[in-house]
Amino acid sequence: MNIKTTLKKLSEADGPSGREEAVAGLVAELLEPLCDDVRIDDMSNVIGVKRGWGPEPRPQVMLMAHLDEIQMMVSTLDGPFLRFVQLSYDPRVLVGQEVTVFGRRKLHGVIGDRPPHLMKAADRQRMPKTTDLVIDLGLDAETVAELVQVGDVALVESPFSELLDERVAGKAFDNRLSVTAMLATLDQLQRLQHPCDVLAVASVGEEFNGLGAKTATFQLQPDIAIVLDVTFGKQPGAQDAGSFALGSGPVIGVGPNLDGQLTDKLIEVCKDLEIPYELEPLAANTGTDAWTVQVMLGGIRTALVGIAIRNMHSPVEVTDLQDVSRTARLLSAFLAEADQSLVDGLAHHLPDFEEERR
Amino acid sequence: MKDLIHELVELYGPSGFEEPVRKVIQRYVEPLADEIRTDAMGNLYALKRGDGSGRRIMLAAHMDEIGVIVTQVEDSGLLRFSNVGTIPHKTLLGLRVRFANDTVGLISHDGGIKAEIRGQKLPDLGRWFIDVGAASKADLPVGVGDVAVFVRPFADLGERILAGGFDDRVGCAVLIETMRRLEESPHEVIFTFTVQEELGVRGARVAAFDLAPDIGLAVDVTPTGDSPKPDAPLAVKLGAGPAIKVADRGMIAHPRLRQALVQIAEERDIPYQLEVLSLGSTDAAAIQAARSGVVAGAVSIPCRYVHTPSEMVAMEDIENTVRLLTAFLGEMGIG
Amino acid sequence: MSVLTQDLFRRLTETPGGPGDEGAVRDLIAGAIHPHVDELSIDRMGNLIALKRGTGDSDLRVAVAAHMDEVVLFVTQIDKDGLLHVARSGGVNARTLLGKTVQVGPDRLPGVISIRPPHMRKSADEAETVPDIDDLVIDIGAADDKAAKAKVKIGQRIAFQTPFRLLSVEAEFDPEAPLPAQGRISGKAFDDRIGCAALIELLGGEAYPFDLYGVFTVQEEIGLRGALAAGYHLQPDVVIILEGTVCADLPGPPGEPQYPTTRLGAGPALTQRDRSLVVHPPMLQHLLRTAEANGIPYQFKHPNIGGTDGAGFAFLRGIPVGIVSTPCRYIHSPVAIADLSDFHNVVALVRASLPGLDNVTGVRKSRKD
Repeated sequence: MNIKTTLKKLSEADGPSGREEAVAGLVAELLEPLCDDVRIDDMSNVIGVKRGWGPEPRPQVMLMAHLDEIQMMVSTLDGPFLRFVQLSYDPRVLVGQEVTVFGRRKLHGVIGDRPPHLMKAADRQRMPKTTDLVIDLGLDAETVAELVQVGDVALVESPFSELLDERVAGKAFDNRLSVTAMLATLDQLQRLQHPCDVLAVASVGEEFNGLGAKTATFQLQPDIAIVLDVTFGKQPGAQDAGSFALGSGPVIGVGPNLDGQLTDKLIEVCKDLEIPYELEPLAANTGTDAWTVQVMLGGIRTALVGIAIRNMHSPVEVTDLQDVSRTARLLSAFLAEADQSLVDGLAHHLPDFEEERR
Repeated sequence: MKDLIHELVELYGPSGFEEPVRKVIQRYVEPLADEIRTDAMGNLYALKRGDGSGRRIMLAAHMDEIGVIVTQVEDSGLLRFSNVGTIPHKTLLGLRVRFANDTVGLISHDGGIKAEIRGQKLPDLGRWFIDVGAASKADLPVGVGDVAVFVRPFADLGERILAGGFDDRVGCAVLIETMRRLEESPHEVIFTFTVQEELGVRGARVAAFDLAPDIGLAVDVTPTGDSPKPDAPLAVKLGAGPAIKVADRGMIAHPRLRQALVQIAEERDIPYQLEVLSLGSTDAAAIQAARSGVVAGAVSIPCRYVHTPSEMVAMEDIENTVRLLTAFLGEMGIG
Repeated sequence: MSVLTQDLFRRLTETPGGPGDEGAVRDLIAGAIHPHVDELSIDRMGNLIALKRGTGDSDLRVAVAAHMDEVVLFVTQIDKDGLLHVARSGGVNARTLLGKTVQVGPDRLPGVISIRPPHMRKSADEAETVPDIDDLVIDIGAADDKAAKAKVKIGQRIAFQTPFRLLSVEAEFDPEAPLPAQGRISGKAFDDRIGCAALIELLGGEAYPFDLYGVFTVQEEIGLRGALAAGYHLQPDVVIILEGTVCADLPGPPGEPQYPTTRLGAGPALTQRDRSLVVHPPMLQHLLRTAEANGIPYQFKHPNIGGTDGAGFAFLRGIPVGIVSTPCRYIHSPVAIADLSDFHNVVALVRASLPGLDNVTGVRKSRKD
């Protein structure tokens, strides 16, 4: 599997929260040759099952990476212009941004700014409010009314670009990058025996309400879950703690949202295989599907593996592809070892009171 | 229809205390349903069996309304209170409230009316009180933990009507009327009157898990953007038809369900509009996330001045909502 | 036949060319016009001057000018992490920079303008504050300064990376075809490549009664500097400036009236006065009478906004200047929108106005002899 071309395809696919059908279809297609069984559920979660060897029941290990991306939504038509609400973009990247509007057909648009020639000095220092911005389709009001409705989605238009070395830039790396890592993991598993059933889930709605994490986990009832999501890359202005240099390997989450023993197991695999890795301390909510998954169905042992990107939630997320292949190596090696005894070994034990008494 | 709404809207039923509302609704739906039951939280389920060829559809409207709860009693006989649901801070001054035992009181705040006149910032909720006309603590007919709703008499303005609590008694009325008009359906439809929506869609969460429907549809009110200079652009207008929800803060409607509703509205010439709301949510958010996921959406009745003591809705929007739902349930549609 | 194909227009807008770095744009224009003109030269500033000989009916010296440069960023420093620090060269709208894709240097190396994730905001106010230009960095994917310095040099220009597009519902991009008559287009550097494109069209047709100098100027965006030099050595009797100009015919905050300056689709914008120049009144009258006589729509640009090369040309001898502009929404940002009918009408209006210049009061008087 070529990681770069897969990521390019996925990054350029359209899949806002709530309208993941198109990207779900693409992911299902990519999963097909790597799994025994692939399905898309009613919510548009994509679920690929790759069965392990040995007799049933086998441990069920879920990999989950979310499919959806942040979006804008048309809220009203203002003559030929569209007003919109935006979900999770940094509003500052939207000014001067090209966008795609998914009306009755795909339309190209621009969110422009008033020229600086006309601005007061103070305005040049202030960003416009999102509610003051409009999308300009370059079409007349009548055509716009025919082609666009309230509720239509708009995404930033940002082609995938190859930067120096193994670095690339584009939109929706959050979280198509992790979906790519999940596919790369399954690709490596083709050459490995694994005792567990691998349930690969590309989940919907993470950027909105965590719908996919809830509904897919409920369906699959896994024994263990490993959530894959992006994390913060080091860049000017980013806090030193909690951001990670691009190219420094998978970033393993540590904290109450994550099972300590499962996390230790992943660290051990990195050490054994000499895969560089980083630890991300997450004191409470990890802000990922892991937060939802951990408390489902009476509790699920959950780990979090991240890949660092710069400029998160902008049209130009930047990453280092070496981290994707390293993540795949970590996960495939872990899955090759994930047998029933590993799962059982994660259980919490009461202290041996008899022993203490003696 | 107007009489039914009038009756429902003046009932006492704050979140967690929906019984008076449930009793009245039960009286209406009992003769229309094949089965009727309630659950531990107080949700009311009225089931109409289909012909077996369709799906299991949950239709939800919430019975509860916002209100206030007494938190502290002062020696002077004044009552301090907290909110039940999101209450209209801006319009509290001078508002009347009614307790379950019909005690009526008036809301004011420390410092009297002057602060308000000087255009100062509204005081925190802790500085507001209810005066029920008691001369002292000993005279009080109500106490800590008692809950009151806003007094909001129904006014018939002709085509448009005015009252508090249309959120969501008007949805309850729509469900009842739809049930009346629905003669044949391929679907098994569970008309669900939920509790505690205003506290975070709590009743619907339980109901959807219990029912495990294939499709869920909430019927609720939605704010309109037709006032001068709205803060946020909202396309929904009063009188322009039921609003088929695209998204709100808690849910993005399933695109296939939304499309099915749009299609049937167009086929039957029922006016409709599309709704994108960047705040608030409905029971559909809870229904969607139940179990392995439910194909969910919502139909909203446009309502001006939501969550104030005087909400306004249009009768034609209500009628068209009933028409839309009846048509949708009567056909295989989304199938 | 039109000289200007869709592909030429595309390359005109997509090619980077900051002030003082107009070489690539100049090469492109020279390549396109050389079959249609009699002499081509480049002066010491870098202005490209094309001479189209007249029929000999008039000895007037007429110049039509458009500027080749665009607003860009400029590499000032390469830090130890391989990130590029920048200054502005020309009046880029700083509100439009974050999260955009760019091309760095003559090799057009892809890069992005970084933005700290919203999750890491230190205050809510940050979302509403325009970042200081000193805090902006460009990421070209270099792992460290060594990798970056192997590819990028201090002083190289950074232009936006914005593809040219037809925004029509029907028309598809056809590289060999001329631009459609109607519809809108989007892309970068419309200020003033759209003027360059109009000038290319004007140089393509039949000969005029007089010698026509097509002047593609440099460094307009940092002070009309190419025009100052060209005006001195060319000594034209009259100049027409072709611009892509400010247009803000947008709805602003809901319910608030706006000041549009020009309107898209309402025809060529004629300048009466801007911040740099008062247009020679008989010249303005000639332009609008020509428009009326030929049924070409026109509009007046609101006064006292922006400045053009006209002031550069008029600086020394006060020669008559006319300014004809194509309105462009969102200039000085990564992407602008213009209306093709305005563009074609600019070409038509100037073409129709040129032959009558001899009779415009004051034009002859400007001659030294």
